[in-house]
Amino acid sequence: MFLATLAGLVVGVVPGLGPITAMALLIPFTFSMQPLSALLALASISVAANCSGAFTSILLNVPGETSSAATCFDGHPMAKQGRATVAIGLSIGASFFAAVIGVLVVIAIAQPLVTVALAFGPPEYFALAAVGISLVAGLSANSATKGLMMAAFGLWLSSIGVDSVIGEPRFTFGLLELQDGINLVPVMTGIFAITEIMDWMKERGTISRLGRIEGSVWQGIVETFRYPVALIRSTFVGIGVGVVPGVGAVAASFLSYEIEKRFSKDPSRFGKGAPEGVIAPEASNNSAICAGLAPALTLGVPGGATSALLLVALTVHGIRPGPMLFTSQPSLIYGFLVGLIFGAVMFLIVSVMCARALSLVTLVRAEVLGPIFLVISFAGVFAQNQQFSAVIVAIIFGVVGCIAKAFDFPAVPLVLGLVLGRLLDTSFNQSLAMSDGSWMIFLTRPISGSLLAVAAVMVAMSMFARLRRRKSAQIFAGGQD
Amino acid sequence: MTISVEQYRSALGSAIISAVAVVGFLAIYLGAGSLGQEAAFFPRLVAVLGGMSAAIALAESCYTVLTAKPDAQRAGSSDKGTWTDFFVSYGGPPLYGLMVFVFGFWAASAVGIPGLLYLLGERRPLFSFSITGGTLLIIYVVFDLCFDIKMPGSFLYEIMVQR
Repeated sequence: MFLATLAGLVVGVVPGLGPITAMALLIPFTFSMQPLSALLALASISVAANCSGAFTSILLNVPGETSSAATCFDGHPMAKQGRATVAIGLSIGASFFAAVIGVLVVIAIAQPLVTVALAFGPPEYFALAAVGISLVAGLSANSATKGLMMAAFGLWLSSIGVDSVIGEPRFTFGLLELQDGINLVPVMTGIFAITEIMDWMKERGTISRLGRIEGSVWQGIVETFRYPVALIRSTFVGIGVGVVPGVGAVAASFLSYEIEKRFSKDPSRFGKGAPEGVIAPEASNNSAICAGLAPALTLGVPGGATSALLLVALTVHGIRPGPMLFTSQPSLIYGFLVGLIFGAVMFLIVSVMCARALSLVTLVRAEVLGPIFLVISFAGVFAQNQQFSAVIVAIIFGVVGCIAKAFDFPAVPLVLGLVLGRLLDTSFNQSLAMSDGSWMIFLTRPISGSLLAVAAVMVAMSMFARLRRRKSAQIFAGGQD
Repeated sequence: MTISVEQYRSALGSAIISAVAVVGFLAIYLGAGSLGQEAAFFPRLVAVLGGMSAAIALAESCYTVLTAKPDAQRAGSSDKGTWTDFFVSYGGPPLYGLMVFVFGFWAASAVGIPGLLYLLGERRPLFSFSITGGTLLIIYVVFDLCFDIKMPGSFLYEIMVQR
């Protein structure tokens, strides 16, 4: 478990290389292991990689994992203020708490959680994806229209490839590489890592503007528990979103971030190094991954790629996931879930030991960091599916990211569109097929109707907040005149 | 209304990007016409949403460009660095990608890292070569030895051999 945790930490901090690659490569090595040891090794990699993905988000503004993208918003500004170790401490504290609570919730109420998951049909999935897209307005600080434009671009990118319902190729331009669609990892690496590297090389200097590191990792861990409401709320938002198969930790982290921003007494602190801005996405993405285990173990329906790989490992060892798993193999399943908590403890120890050393990267000159991370990012992107086309996609989106940054077009809505687009498209078509083409299916079903109402309220709230900001700015300008 | 030169440039750039986006979303809408009715619905919906947002963003940016006056005296972020810096920073990564395609990962990186360091002002050869060696060693250990992922050779060479 220690070695798996260490391996998870390494793959978590390398952009492009994630738990999915590491787990997929490790599965053949687990054939000769006892089932419990095999599951624990894979789960430790997953826990450590998901938790440590935040480290590069904080230190370099480059998400190590897709689910850590929202951590960049406040984690990196803290690193710029010389508080990198404190931010890492916040992410460790939140990840640890959420992982433990997430596992305990799965142990305690796996069956009721699955009932919630079963209540979700295509219209509910569509409505949930619509809630995710409604976050765009809030995540586009300066211009909602630019945010919507970028989200639409992301949604279009998600429609590239063979359509999952009808099976018709769309916008592939005859290229075989585009048949499977646009992979998220090269887009993320391009838009975050390559863009950031280009900026480092141009701006120079060190990431920590102070030229030193202040605070300690323990200070961050302790500070996490000074925000109990944000911590608990985000953990349970993660569990709620994570239990629904296919939505995943990425949507959960953005949703929690936006919720904390909305509930904050002073939302203007967000994006400038607010501790809740690190706690919320980290707590929710880790609890979402743990909650995703409930439908995976009891229904055989994976909540995401990592739980799908755990299912593969279970099947390889002759264990069939299903409602009876908790009663037919109690020692294995409960041993595995308790082992996950030990995995989280192991991660806590290893990451506390490494945090200070990792933070030193914020004191290295950007002109040295740039070439190093450029090469590592390219290697990480190529490692995903070992095709050069992924590298080309990363370069293209690096340039897109640079142009977007230069002219104040937010990049996050593009990623959100790409993540949620396929779910939105597939569930929309399936819903209409269920209702013989009637759009009323989205409104007449209680869960989908309520979720769509939540989406409408979120859009209305952000528009209202924007109008109020504009009005107060005009009053301020008038007062100055 | 007066704005800084940087804000004026940003509004002008936004207007150009938004105009390109309007055309792009229109092309997506028309391109979806060649698809079946069910497959075309989602891209068309996205094209309408994107086209409308791009049109509004274009109008907003054009309004700023036409009504505001750029004032050199107003505070704004000033451009740092020279044109060489600009080309190295933004042209370096795509050029490195091209080098990987032509020469393969290891050769391109062995030349690319010290080359970029030199262009960015690092003149200590021992330091540059230690950074290069260290980075490539880490990549070799993590990717090749631990995960058995082979970094790419020259794709150009492969294409030429296949022909």
